[in-house]
Amino acid sequence: MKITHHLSEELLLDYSSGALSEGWSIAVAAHLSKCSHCRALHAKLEEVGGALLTDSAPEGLSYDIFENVLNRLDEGGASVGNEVRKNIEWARRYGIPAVVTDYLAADTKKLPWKSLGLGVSQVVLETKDTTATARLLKIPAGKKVPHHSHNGRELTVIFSGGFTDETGNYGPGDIQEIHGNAEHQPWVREEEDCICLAVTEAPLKFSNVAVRLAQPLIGI
Amino acid sequence: MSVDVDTISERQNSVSKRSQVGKPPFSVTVSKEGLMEVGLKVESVYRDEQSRWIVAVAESRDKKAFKQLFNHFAPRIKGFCQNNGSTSDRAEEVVQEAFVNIWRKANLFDPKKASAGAWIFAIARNARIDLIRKENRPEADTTDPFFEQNEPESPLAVLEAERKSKLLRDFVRDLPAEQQQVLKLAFFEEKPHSEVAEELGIPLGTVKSRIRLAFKRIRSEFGEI
Repeated sequence: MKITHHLSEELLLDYSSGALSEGWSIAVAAHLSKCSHCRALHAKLEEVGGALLTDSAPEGLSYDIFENVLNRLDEGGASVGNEVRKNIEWARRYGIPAVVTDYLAADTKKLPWKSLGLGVSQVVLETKDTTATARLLKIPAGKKVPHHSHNGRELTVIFSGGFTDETGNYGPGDIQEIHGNAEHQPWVREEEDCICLAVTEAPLKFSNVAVRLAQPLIGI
Repeated sequence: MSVDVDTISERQNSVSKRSQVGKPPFSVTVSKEGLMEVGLKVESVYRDEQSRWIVAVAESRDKKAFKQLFNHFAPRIKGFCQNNGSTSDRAEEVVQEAFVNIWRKANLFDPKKASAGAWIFAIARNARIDLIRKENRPEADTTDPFFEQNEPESPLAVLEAERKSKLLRDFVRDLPAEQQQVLKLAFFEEKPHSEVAEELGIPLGTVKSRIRLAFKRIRSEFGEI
């Protein structure tokens, strides 16, 4: 897999430090699943975190903390890392990493796509993050998505197919980071549907249905 | 073998106690021939004492080694959490959660990939996200069939990783104050870079350029990333 679009350093720092909220972190982790280059930098940032932790001022602990920990230990062998992964048909078909399928694996045969119009479908990931919305998108092969912009930040990670817009060509594993009101018009490759994860700022909640309906189609 | 690990741990613990107030000991010289003779794995030989404690917890569920890890890291994790404005009680909850996870996940510690400090930092960070922010922490899963694996590492990778993580620690201390400040706000206070800009009252672009400068140094110093 030839990845040409990587994580920005600011975004990777926010993720490594733990500052980035869950929705955005799914996109970062999905890219990291595919990109050994960004993983190497991420590992270095965790070393920076380790260095800062090691050098930080120790604080005295209550006397019973270690005892409490011992009481919670599972005395047997280490209990993680041997989980058997479900065989998820759609994940295999589209090359979707576990960090995304973990949110959606209730049905291993098919994804609960919902139409957004113009042939575009979505599945929203249920997270605890109220500041960002993460969704899987399926955009038909050859589709030219109308010009649009987003409020704030948008992260897109491609799993299969790809698209081209004003900023370049994006294929499997690539991440696109858009800020502010930059407009773009993605044009999906002819050969196959584009399956990607898109994370956007959580939409403003309009009480007025008419206003909500007037939001542009991809005003997601 | 577990007996030997204990002996080594105890011997080194006296070193770590002595230097508790100042900077912790990053490199402890242990005769590698001596360790090889008692049958420790090569990986264990070359790692620092904290890494050996984690390996002892993973391989022989060694509670003495676990206690050493606790004595060394728990007070630092607590201090680390309190930087974020957490109360002492909340910080101690994070400490407990982190140590339960250290015990459970010790078998996932890979000395070729991370130093003990970095691995424990990641566990403490995730415990903080879980308990204080009440969010999940999405992470790339290396057991995932759709994870693109790295090139296999050479047997010497562990040496290289250890050397680099030691250099990196010194290097972070030597960064210019303004770059270090941005990193500290990010890691200690969990502030996204946009909030760092607000807190320092400087433009976002300035924060980004400080981050880039720090990374550029890390890259030029450590190559291949």
